[in-house]
Amino acid sequence: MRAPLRLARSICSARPSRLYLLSAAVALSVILVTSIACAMASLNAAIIGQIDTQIGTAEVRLRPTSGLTLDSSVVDRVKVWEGVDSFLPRLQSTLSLVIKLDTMQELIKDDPDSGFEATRVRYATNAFVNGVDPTIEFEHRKINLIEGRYPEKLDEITIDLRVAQRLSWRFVQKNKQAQNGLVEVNLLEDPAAYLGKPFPSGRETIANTNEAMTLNEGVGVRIGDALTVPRLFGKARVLTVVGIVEPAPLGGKPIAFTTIETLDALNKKKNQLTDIEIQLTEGVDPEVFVSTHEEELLPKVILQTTGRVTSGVENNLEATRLGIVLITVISLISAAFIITTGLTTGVSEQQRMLAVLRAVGARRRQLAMAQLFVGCIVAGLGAIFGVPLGIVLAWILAEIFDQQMAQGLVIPVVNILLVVIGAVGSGLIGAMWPAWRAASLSPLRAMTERATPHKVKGILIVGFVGALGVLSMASIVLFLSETNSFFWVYAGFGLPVMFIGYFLISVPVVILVAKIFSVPLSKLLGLPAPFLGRTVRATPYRHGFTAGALMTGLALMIGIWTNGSAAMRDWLGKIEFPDAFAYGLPLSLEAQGILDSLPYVEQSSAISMFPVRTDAFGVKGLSQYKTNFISFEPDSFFEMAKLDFVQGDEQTAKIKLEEGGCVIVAREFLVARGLGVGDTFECTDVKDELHQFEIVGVVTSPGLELVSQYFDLGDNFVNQAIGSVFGSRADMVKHFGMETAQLIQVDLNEKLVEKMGGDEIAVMEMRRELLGAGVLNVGSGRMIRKQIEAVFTSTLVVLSTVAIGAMLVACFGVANLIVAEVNARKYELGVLRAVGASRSQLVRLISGQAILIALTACILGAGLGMQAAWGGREMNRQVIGIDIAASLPMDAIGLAWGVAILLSLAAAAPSAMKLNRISIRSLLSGQ
Amino acid sequence: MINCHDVNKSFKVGDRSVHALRGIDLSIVDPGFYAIMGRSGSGKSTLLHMLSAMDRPDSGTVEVSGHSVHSMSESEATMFRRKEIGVIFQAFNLIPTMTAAENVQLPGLLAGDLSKNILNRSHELLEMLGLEDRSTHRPEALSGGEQQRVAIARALLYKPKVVFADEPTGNLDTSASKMVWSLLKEVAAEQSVTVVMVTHEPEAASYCERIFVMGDGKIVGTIDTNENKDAEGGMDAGTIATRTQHLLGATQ
Repeated sequence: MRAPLRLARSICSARPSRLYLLSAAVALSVILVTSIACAMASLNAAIIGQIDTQIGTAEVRLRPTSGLTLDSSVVDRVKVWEGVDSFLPRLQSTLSLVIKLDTMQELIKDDPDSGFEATRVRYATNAFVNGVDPTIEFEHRKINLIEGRYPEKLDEITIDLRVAQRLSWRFVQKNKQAQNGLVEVNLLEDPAAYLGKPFPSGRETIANTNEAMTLNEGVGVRIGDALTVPRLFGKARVLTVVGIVEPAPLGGKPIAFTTIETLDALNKKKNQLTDIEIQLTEGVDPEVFVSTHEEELLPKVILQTTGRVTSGVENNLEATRLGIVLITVISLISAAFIITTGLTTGVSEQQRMLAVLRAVGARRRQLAMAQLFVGCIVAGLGAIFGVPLGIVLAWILAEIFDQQMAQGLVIPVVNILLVVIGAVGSGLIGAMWPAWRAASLSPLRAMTERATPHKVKGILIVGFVGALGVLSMASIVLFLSETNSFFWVYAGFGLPVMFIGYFLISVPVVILVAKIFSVPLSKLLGLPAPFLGRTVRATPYRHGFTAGALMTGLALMIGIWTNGSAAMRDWLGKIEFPDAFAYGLPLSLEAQGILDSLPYVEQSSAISMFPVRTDAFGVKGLSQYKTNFISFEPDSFFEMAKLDFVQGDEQTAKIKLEEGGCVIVAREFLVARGLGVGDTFECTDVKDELHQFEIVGVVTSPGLELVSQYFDLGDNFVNQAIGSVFGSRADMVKHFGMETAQLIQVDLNEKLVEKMGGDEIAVMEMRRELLGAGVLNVGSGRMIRKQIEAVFTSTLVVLSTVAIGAMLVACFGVANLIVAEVNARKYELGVLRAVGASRSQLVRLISGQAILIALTACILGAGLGMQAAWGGREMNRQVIGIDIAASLPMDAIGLAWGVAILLSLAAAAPSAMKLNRISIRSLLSGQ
Repeated sequence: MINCHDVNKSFKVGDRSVHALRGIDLSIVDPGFYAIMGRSGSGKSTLLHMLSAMDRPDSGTVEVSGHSVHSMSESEATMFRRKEIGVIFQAFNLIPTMTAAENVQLPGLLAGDLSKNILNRSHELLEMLGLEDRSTHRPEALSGGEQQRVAIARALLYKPKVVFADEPTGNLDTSASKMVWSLLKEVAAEQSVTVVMVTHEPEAASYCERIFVMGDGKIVGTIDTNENKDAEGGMDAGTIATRTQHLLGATQ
């Protein structure tokens, strides 16, 4: 072992800058993968945290099936059950919270020069309020206090930061300034910022605008303030703020906590509860407990393990872990190819030294092992630097997005270990070909100075094998996309094989590119025609694999934008939202009555949503998604939802729905599972009971699940529902016991709304009118669409950044190749200078080489990107039922190509500049 | 010591076959300094490759130090090159990232043997060749002559009975070349080693006791330099050149 290690050290120290370049390529890959793994783990922890916040740590929960409330006398039955250690009763309600705070206002309206005076201003918001038993609730539910304490007595309230923020001056100002009226939190803004700032008190007057605005920055609700709860029927109640808590991570509704007695006093119906969570004594199996007692309370009350609630989420988190493994594999395959190219170049350069070693008695095995050790050293160095830097990058992200990653940075040790093992593995795999080359060197051949051209046969074989890989993936998509095994075969075999295939066909492609483009490029760069293409064609493997590494980032960018923009156009673009929505948990009839009475509201339709389990979507054994069963009043709903019937017709469907036992399904069911009119839709409820419905229509999605997810993103992580089926109210009550509505969709009078000043004004008016009516939020369809599109676009931008990062990784490979090329051709370049070539011509020669590599990468990247996008579309179709058409995002392709060419030129620049400075004598003497 | 009988070797160059060696018979019995001389393309380097187990003849037998080199396996040939013979190349071929001492110790490193004996032997050789104060220097800090002396020391590490030198002074100036030739002669005499040097220079060959003249893949004759010794004790270069021309001319 000593000899190969010593030889490896010798090889590494012969050209240390090249070793660092290769290690840097591995390090960048490791940084990317490590930061993604840490970010995903932190997000997953936030999701788990979200679940803990919503569900708590109890093992079993009890709630009414109707979506209304249950009588608190149920507690008396529950507490005598064997196995019950403790229980947490809860009563939940949507309340409007109003406060008046001193705020600096202009003495004369719209005239800041007139000075400012502290005036009482009204701030209001809606919140989802949890009435709890404070003696036990907060022992079992993790809610972090920022200030103050939890509520203990009647009329005390503890609010979360989302509520506090909505009752602050800064938030209201931003709301007014925003183009749309829907209030959203800036991801980077600290909602608790106002707490530490000074604020107006008393009747002070200030002349200076900046001073006045500075004071206003501190205006917001604080401990000890009084919040008024207006009610539609009855006297308003005043609650005292005793604490402020952190919000649940990952978005969601504004939440507050008070005692059950306080909420009971506000409700018309007394002694009600929304759910009871039960802690079991040690050793009691939750599933056995549920099966023992569930029949006692049915049908009005359902008993279930909280594990059943979270199991779907946990499966889906597993799916994201698989995604991380895939990203790691592809990223490290790319690094392996860079190492192969770099080390093979090294073997060629050190041919004479290796021959001498063989001549003086080195075994083939020793030379091979030396190369493998070099591969491990390169990869090991990359991992040593890459892992900590990746963790630092993830930490920075966690600090910036601390609200979303509220659990802080989570370092998944097992995943990181896999990344390190993968990196070293990529070094070993990457070094295998150079090891074979080094070992197969005959001392004689290596000592001859003759260069031998690459065999055409070898290039054809490599191209053929590569084409097989590419075609294999295509065959999988063409012939297996309708089967259950598609996902596993595609992800486990098709994707990696396609990726490797493109790497291999890079060799013949680079020759073709050099043949086609070297002449026009030479003309453009002012070079004699034969020089440029000759080098690339002489060393096709090095150039091909280097282009292959660059193609990865290109393909990622093209694939993302191909499908991303198509999804926006073909799926989101086709959804027609109604004019406005009101959202609540649940919504009351009074709320709908208020809406119908408004002059600018033409009609409204109440909608109930209930998540049911179905195997229509997801991947068997990996992920599972629920779907929303939506019920409505047929006439108003069909008129407002603007559904397009893909199969069936509205008349027949209405009649059948009223008969019962029938549903209309969204188009995603037809796309994913081929379910259409006449087929049976099957689902199970929370009790695992099977329900079957005849499908009487297939419609384009009205996007109601999007709206629901938009209003309560946090809940979405628990329920994880995709797609919708539409049934009657009667079926909803009969099969699932759900009696309440969560959404009201609203049609607005266009002319009146225009007179008012637009839909955002109308929405603000609606919010004001609905204060106290138990509505959590109101939004316009147009604004919701705009915000969803913004999220889509920013996701695409973030992913594009990852793609550019991948291209940067490849640039180290380009730099390494160019350095090796310049080194190997020093004498030739010296001769060119000696016979009259200028310094700038040599620089242009090197730059031209870099451009040819980039052009090859562009062609391969476009091919790989579009083929991967095609596979991705089939996956989407099968897993989530979304059908999007192929398209060519020319602007994204143009951008990707431009970036690739620029980065290649940048990678070649240091070598080119160095070459520009070297004297002819030094070139000829090989120094 | 060295015995070749009817050795033949051909190479394919493009479409044609080149007969590099045709029925070579060569015998060296006693230790000493020997040269293989001939014009460019005469097959002398190819013969050296056969003798040093770097290549195999198409037919014939090659025996060196009692080993049947022509029938060795890959592994046997490697071990043979490591411990039984020494090889000196034209372009020094030192490992650039190793010191002079480490370069000398290279065969020991490859054998997994860096025992005290080997380390002492390497220092002894460097001292013998006047390089003891350069032992920690890397090749880039050594002159051409010094580098070739290191290569000679490396070739002698395992006290081989036979050393092969392929144009060892091809990259050196005249004074350094003379130094190397003298050194090789000294090594042959004092260490009882058979040194076989391939050269095209009559002056180099004048240091040797016998010269095998090759032409067109055959040994066309031998010159015994102990005949007609000049005042310095060896045949002069001019006489060697004339005799060589005569031998080569007689075969055409």
